[in-house]
Amino acid sequence: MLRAFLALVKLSFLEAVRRQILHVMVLLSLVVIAVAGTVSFFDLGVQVKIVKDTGMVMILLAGSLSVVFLISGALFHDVEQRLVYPLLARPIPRGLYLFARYTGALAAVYAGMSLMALTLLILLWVHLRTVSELAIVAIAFTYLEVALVGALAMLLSTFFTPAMTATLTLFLYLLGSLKMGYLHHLAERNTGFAKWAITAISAVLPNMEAFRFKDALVHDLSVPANYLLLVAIYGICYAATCVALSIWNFGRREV
Amino acid sequence: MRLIPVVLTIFLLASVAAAHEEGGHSHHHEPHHWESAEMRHNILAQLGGMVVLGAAAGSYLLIRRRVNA
Repeated sequence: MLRAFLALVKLSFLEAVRRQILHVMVLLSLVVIAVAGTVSFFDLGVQVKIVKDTGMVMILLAGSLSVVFLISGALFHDVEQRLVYPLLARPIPRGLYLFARYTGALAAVYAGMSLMALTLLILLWVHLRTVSELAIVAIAFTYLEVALVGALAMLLSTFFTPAMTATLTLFLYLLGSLKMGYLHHLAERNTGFAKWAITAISAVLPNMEAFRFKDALVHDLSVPANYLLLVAIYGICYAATCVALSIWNFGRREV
Repeated sequence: MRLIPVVLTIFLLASVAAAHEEGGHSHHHEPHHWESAEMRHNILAQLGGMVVLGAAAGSYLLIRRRVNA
């Protein structure tokens, strides 16, 4: 079973790293990070803040968009091209196939993100001659956020077409990012059904803001370790729930 | 390649949004999310919901397995 899983992950990974969208995202982000780190308009303190800020935004943006575009079409493509039939004819559970598809695509995105993260860390080291622990922590939580976005895309892809999945995932991602700052205030200002509906949507949406420690990195602030642990558990549980729901839905579907 | 204009537009919009967010923080001095009790409550409430959902799904699967056996 493990051999089958690893073979499927490898196939999914190789397919994902050949996709043009991933190359474009990684190259664009690397150029932006490198430009922010090398072109100097400000004194060193401001320059380092700009490098940290731009680097973190680019890693998150490129990782999230890549994972959405890679995962939203994966399942649909396999079913439409009839690639899934010879695989499911073997004694491979559908859940294992779906989880391997998710893991492989995520590994490809992580490979691209690692290039960006490495560039950012090198630039920080060049400017400061040291790399703070918080930089590693902030990057690690960006990886977790991307895993969550990918799991959400995988769940939606078992219900909708690729275009619909990508649009809905990006929409939910945006709403999840605005959840604490905007939706909660919106719920407080409304009454009746509108308030109930906004509160219900807000209760289910992932809390994307919780994974962002860019401000702490840029302004050299400390984050409590117990909060980091809570957010890590939350991210893993949310992603696992999404993957479990997608396995359940794909398992009962006619292919 | 057709996606490049879309990607560039999203990058542009995101950078504008990030700049706006920075501006907002400097004016209002809102607490960061790791300092906010509301954020912790929200995360804990959602974690509780997932645990309940997981327990319900696990119980259902156990019962179904026993009935089938």
